[in-house]
Amino acid sequence: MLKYIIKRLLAGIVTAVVLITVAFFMMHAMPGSPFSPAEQKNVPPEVLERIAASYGLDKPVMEQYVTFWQQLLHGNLGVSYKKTDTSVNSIIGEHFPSSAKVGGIAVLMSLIIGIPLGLLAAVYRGKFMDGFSMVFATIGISIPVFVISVLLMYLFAGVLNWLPSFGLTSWRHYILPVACLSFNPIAYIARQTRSSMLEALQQDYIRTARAKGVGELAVVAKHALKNAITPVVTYLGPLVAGLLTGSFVVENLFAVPGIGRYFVRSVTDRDYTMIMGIVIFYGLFVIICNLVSDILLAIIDPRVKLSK
Amino acid sequence: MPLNIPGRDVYDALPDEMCVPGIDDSDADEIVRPSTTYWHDVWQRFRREPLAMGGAIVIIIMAIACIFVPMFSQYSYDGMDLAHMNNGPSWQHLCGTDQMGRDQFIRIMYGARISLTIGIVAAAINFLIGVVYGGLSGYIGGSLDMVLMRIVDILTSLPSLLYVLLVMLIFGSNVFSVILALCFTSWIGTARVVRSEVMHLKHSDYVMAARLSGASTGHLLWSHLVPNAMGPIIVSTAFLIPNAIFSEAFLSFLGIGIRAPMASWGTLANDAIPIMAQYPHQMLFPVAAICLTMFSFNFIGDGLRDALDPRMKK
Repeated sequence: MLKYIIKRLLAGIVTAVVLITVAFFMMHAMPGSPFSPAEQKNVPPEVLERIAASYGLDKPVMEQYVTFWQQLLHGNLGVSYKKTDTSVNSIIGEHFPSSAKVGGIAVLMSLIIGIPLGLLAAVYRGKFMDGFSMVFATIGISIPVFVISVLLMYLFAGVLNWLPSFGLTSWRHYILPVACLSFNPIAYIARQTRSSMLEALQQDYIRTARAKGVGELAVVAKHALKNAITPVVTYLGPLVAGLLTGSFVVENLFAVPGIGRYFVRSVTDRDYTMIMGIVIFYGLFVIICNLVSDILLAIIDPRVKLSK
Repeated sequence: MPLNIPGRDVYDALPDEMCVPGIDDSDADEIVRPSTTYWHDVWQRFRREPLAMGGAIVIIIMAIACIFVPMFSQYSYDGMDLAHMNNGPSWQHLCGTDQMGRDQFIRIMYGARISLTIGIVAAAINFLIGVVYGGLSGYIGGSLDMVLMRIVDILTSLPSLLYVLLVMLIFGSNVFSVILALCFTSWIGTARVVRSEVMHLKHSDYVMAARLSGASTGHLLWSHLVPNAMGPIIVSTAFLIPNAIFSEAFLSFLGIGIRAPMASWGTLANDAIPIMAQYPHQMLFPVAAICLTMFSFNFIGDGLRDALDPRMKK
């Protein structure tokens, strides 16, 4: 077990190093800089030079790369190009909690609704419940998240005027963003749970359990579900990472003051340090979540370790 | 030792009434119908999936319409008519007009051109990369396979949207950079499928026979292994198309993808957000177009999966 964890950990570190390196050189290969004289015509060139020097941009790229790593290992992601008095760390620190709150609730909702939906569909295979949840799952997988967001927003905030569509100040503000964020994951989890439950219910040990007289509820909940849950756990890693770090569309649309919204803004602003900082933060978050879900999977299903 | 079989003369001696009346089995061994090929079978199964056939018909109609309607229409995608701003649907403007009096219907048709082009081109490129990458990795195996698969692991450990955004930043917002960005990681699924199929097939007898007759690695891959692995490859490619269309609409919706006055479905939906309360139809039509396309392609993908490999059907 320890060997497996160490192996995964090393792979995660290699991925992180590659990611950070690629992000750094991509940002530096970008044509045009926010401080080039061609783009800032009304600022004197000497001032621009001095600004560039304050960011260390006058030094050779390799030297900048080394400095960047030194800063990074001290947990410093640099200073924004646009808001010159704000560090990337403080912006992430300020916006991450909102993203994490909305995302965390969305993850919980997807599990609480998705797993039972798939479970019922598998147990009552071919019945109404199965048809209902599979139609729902197909809709959920086919309709893009921004379409759902727009439609829900129009219906509940525009036409019916039941829910607020802007900001994040009371519990009512959470309902629409959470619903939009968890729509696709619910569909995916329901589909995944259904197909692996169908497979699990046909296994010999289920027949044995039934033959021994175990009640139907215990067969489904204890014997089958335990074995059918592994694909959901695999999916959970990227899901948690994606939702907690903020969805670009939902945060933009509902004006949730989260990281996803800020990221989109820094992309359109070409705030390179900001983009790089958020990419690295996001990437590390994804890598850690994948690591945790891999380890979790190895604990639930010991066969995983042997096959890898 | 000679067997004691009754001779022909014994049968001939039987009276005619001993035959079963009305059944002439002299042609029982004859092959009446032409033998069907694998692809013919696939088509027969696909044809019986109503949802998949419906999806295919919708896509074909959409493709024909988006090619020909703009050719013969009196409106253009950027022609403004400030006298008719924000009009509702009418016979003159089937889907109404937008804030600048541009005809929505024709803009949706141009959006369909962009979406279908991106979907099909991105899927084709990803198909090629995936087949070559996965084929080499699976066929040669060993340390090459190790290296190639580690690269894939690193690429997939990050959400593809990050790469897409980075590529869009460098190459600007146009159709070309959207396709390029999508080609960064979308091929990985196909490559994995091809790799596992090739690894499974390469030990077959016919591959061994071909290799013994002196076939080169490239020939083996292209003429023997890939055609036999075609079913799963096609299924994974079929799902690449809706993914590509979704990604483009998503980027344009965020304002990072295709820019105005070019009309992508994502751009149209994005433009309609601020005035959604007053003019919901401007949001409704592009969104309906996106949903219809996504449903159609997903149904086609599901149908293809069931048709190519009936065992997968659940």
